[in-house]
Amino acid sequence: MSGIWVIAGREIRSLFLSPLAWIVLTVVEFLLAYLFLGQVKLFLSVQPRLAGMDNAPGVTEVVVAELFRNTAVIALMVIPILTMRLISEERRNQTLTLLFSAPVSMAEIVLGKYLGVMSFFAVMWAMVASMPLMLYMGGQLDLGMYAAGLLGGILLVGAFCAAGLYLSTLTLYPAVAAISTFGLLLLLWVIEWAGKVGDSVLNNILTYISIMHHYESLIEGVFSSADIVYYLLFIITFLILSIRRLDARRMPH
Amino acid sequence: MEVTRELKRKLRVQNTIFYTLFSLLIGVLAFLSVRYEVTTDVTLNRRNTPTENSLALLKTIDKPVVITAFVTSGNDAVRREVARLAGLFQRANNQIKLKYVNPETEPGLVRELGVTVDGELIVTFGGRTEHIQDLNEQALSNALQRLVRGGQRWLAFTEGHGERQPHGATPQDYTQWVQQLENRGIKTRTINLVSDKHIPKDTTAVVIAAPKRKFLPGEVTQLRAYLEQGGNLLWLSEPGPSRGLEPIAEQLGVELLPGTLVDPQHDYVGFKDPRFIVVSDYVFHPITQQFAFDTIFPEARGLEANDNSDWEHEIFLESLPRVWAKTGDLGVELAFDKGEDVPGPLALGIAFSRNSAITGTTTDTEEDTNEQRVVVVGDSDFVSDMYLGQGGNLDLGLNIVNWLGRDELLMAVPTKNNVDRTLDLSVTMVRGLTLLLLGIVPIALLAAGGRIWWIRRQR
Repeated sequence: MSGIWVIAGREIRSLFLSPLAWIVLTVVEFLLAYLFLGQVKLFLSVQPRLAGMDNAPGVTEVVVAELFRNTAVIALMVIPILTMRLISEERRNQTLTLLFSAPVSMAEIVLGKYLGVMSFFAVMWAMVASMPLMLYMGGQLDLGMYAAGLLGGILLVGAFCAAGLYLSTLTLYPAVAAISTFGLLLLLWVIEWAGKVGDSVLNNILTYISIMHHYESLIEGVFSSADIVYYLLFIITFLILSIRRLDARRMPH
Repeated sequence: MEVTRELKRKLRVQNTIFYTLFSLLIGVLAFLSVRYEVTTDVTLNRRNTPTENSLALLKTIDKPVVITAFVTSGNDAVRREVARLAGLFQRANNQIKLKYVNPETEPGLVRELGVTVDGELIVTFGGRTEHIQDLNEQALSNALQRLVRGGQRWLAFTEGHGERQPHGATPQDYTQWVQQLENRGIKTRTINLVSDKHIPKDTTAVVIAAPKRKFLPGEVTQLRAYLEQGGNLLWLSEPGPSRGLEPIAEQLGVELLPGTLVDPQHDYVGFKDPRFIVVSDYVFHPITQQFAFDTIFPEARGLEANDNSDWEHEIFLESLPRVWAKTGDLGVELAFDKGEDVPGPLALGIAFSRNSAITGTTTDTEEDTNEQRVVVVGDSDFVSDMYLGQGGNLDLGLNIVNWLGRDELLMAVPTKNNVDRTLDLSVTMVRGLTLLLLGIVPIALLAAGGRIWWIRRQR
């Protein structure tokens, strides 16, 4: 199992030793901070009106939930760029053969790569999650809702990365992997819109498949076992598919 | 290892079997996870949990409730709010179904059902419907409560004395108010006390709206008998003679005061006519409970309740102390004539109730069935088509009818105390945050990236 950590460490090093990771972090931080501050100012300006309302939305609902939604949008765009080269680049540079000959299993390679890229997003999420905490300067947060949203965000990014990793095993060209990852994720995002009218079994299935549907309820602080299981199944499915894909590749042909 | 055709075929078969079994397994797990879903509300504000009152109501519902939401496509904020509100109730009771209709693609349905607001909900239960325009728990709970209680509500408008018509064509009539009532499942009919021998048994309340001719003694006798037998009444009066209804007033213990109410500071409120009376503070009463709007009464009269009857009375609308009742001509200069005019504050609306000896007219089986209710208002214009849209007039009109039908706020949804209601950030703090998040942090990140790039270039 130590192979996982070796691969993950190698992945993290190569990520953070390239300027790309830092530029991505900068862009993501800047965009999300801009949107976050806009939402804070919005809340400050409507606060007097909200005070007169019964059961008015609080800071967490107005500011934090929106920040988490925005993070999902940004993640959708950034993740394909960071997952595209995971396997396909190794294949292009012929380094995959080296990995194959090393004493590590396919599962270790896939999980190591996955953990490597996820650690980058852990850094990103830590940055995003620290923004709302700064609001403690002047108020409080609904920490339950905040934690549920954060958990949802990590699961969502985990699902995105797993899909990106799998698509990266399918092609030699990182650009193709990136575009197809983006396309797949966007499809899973909008598929719910088709499922919103009517009440047939198909619509229920489409709504279930939709990747954002489950995130939304976590953002709102509804912790549902089905939503968690959805993301875990999603991640496991794509990791197993990736492992099988690489196993098939190791076969001489 | 030699790859033979045979081996390739075997691999293909093996792969097919694997992918089939694998997708089946994932599908079954997904199905089970939904089937045995466990949800918890993890928010400190309990914002995803209905209040206890709502939960108690939801427990009693064992037949399907369909919530139809009319939301235009692209209005995601409203759609989210609808989903949240419906989800709140759906998690507590799986009989509640939500479906969306896009009003842009179903204009006929929208017209037919009288949907007027983007995000309007129509709740259907046992063949009856309620419209909801305010997306909050209180509104949905109350609508459900009315649907569950059952029984058709009928308002019977007296006719034959020049009263305001429920379906008249002039701005003084009640077409829009009646439309709004019908949207909420309350039907209206007119009754002629001369030709109709009896007031129908299923009448929720009789409405007398500003008669211009005198009621005949026989008609008054019939109304009195109706009240004796426990019927509810809404009496919308206007300044001027009482049109033969004195016996009714006497029976209730209400006095119709002379004169027209005038507000000496009408200019300040924004009306040219001093006879426009604005009420903005409400006495605590179920009709005006949690009422946050001004209501406007053009040409109203004052009322006074005496204790000469077995009715309990509560004033639910009262004018400001500066308002008084002018008996003579308004004159050029508005002046208080001592001895003739009645000083304020004056009651504009009084609610009467008593425990009727005879079982009520509606088909309810609840404990409070025996309470008989009457509302007298010193104005009839506030719910007319011309003034219904002013301030909270429509809400007041609906609340009065709900109270008469004993459908008032049965469900007071208590306010939840959000822990994160307030955010107290000074301008300096916001500037500091902006500097940190849009200045220092991005620059630091860029610098780190730049340094790595520099070090690698040096090699």
